[in-house]
Amino acid sequence: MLNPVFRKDMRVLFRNIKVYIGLAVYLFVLLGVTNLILKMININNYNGFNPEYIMIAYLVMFGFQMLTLTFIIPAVTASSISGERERQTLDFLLVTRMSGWDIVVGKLMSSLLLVGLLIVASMPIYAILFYYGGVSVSGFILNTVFLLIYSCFVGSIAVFFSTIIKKTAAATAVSNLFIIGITIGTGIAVLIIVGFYNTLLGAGTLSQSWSRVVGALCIIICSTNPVVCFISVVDSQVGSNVLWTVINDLIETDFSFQYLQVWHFIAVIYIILSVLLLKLSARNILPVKRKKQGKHTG
Amino acid sequence: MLKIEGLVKRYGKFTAVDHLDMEVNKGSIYGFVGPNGAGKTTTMKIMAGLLSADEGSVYIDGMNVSEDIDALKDKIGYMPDFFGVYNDLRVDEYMDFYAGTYYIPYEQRKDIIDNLLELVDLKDKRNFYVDSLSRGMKQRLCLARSLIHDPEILILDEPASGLDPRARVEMKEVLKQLRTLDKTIIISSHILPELAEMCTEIGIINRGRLIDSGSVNEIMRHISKERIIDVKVLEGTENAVKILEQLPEVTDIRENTFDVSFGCNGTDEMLSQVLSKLVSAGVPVISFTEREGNLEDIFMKLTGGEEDA
Repeated sequence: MLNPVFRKDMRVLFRNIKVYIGLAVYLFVLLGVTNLILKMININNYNGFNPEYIMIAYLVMFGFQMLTLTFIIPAVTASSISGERERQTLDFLLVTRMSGWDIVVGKLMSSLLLVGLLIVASMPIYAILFYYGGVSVSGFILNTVFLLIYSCFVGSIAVFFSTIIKKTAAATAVSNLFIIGITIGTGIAVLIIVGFYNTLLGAGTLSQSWSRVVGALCIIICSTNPVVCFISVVDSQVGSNVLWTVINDLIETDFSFQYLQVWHFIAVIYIILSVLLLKLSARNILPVKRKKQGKHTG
Repeated sequence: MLKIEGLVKRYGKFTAVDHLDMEVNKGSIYGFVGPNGAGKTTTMKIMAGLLSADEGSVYIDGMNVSEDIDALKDKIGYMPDFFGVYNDLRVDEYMDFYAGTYYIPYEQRKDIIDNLLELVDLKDKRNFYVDSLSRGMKQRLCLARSLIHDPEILILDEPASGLDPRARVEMKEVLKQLRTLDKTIIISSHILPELAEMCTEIGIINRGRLIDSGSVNEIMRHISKERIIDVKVLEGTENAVKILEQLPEVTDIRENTFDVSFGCNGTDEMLSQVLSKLVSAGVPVISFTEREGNLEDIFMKLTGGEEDA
């Protein structure tokens, strides 16, 4: 049976004229960006063009889509629980047979539906690039899956803040600040870790064998960073190894996996973090925390 | 069916519910009466599993609400005092959504929704947007929603609050219909005389404590310690008064043109003897009835006139 919250939100979403207006504006802007890029790379020059530019155009569009989704998703999702609270409908939901997990997952699915709508609606614009070649369909599908996983992570952050902050506007603002915070914060954290590692390595306290641990730790911390996330997509599309190279340069080692790209790690970490955030959110909305077996309050 | 033992709920230094003990029998309609801030809503939220108690327990069918709420969700129907609705949904979609939240199979939903909308007199509004309904209709829709999973116990927190007189009458009619559904109903309200008509038992709460409980007449007796009897006679009220004055258990005799009223501290047997004496003395008695308790009077006496609704 389809998640009832998702089914209801889907019904309401497609009835909302604002969604269609928002979608039209989004596509119009994306089309404008695409047109601008194509003009910049002089694609209609009769003397030919460099096919690599198409890949750059694709990545710029992808980056633009990722950036807009980073701010659209919290705006849509942060009202998921706080909106129910403000509308005084949350109590109704909590007395039903739906578990906290079912409710938060239903809410996240509703947000992802909107993301899916934006992605599908933008496909004809991407198709302009496919016409010129240079971007593989399989690569595009993989990137789309990755974008959905990323959206899931950002959405889970917004759902989480929606469960702990009562006002939707505040939950949206905090979600956005949190994402900006992790973008800057994780970068600083990685620099600090690398600085410590290199100092300890230089002092002889640590051996080179710790490089894999430090490298993995950096990847884990960086994975929540949307910029790193985007670079990992660039790496996967262009076949470059920018992230591994940067990390190896920082910790002065040769640390890489033959078949695994950074975005594979990031995708796994996003899924794990999303599940954890949703579990916490489900716990947060429970009105009565379950008591341990055998404990009597009377 | 429902048992509350030593329930305590505090908000900071304020104790909303203070060692409340209460019992509601299966199939009864229990009126939960108290002034604003007495602890009714808090108690009902704890019953519905929406709030945790600081001390004490609520048991429904022997199961502790705080520990077994997931198992009890099928048994409990809850309607809060303040609630919102999804305005972008139509009435039948709204009901369908809540049927979904109880995982009722799709094929069963239409009949359930039809029956409930008929019960609350909203069948002809099923294709209307919830937004377009009046407040009274929304309240009735909310009541129908709380019945969607056919719960055994229905907790209705002030279902008629904020309604105009006409909508109150309509809601009262629907609530009367609920009596036929053979459910245990706990209802709080400020429409006290109306509660007296429909409740089999009432509980009076003030400052978080249950002051009294029982049938309206029982509570009347607890308070006034005296039953008031109205005797209607065909003619000759003087004769009836003369006889009543000779009976030591009878007090406060009042004579009108066609009837006499008197107070009595006695049991049902004593009242039966009083009636026998009147009839054997040749008083043409048409009716001999104990005056119904008025919940408003009881309420004002017990809560010291604190009601502000």
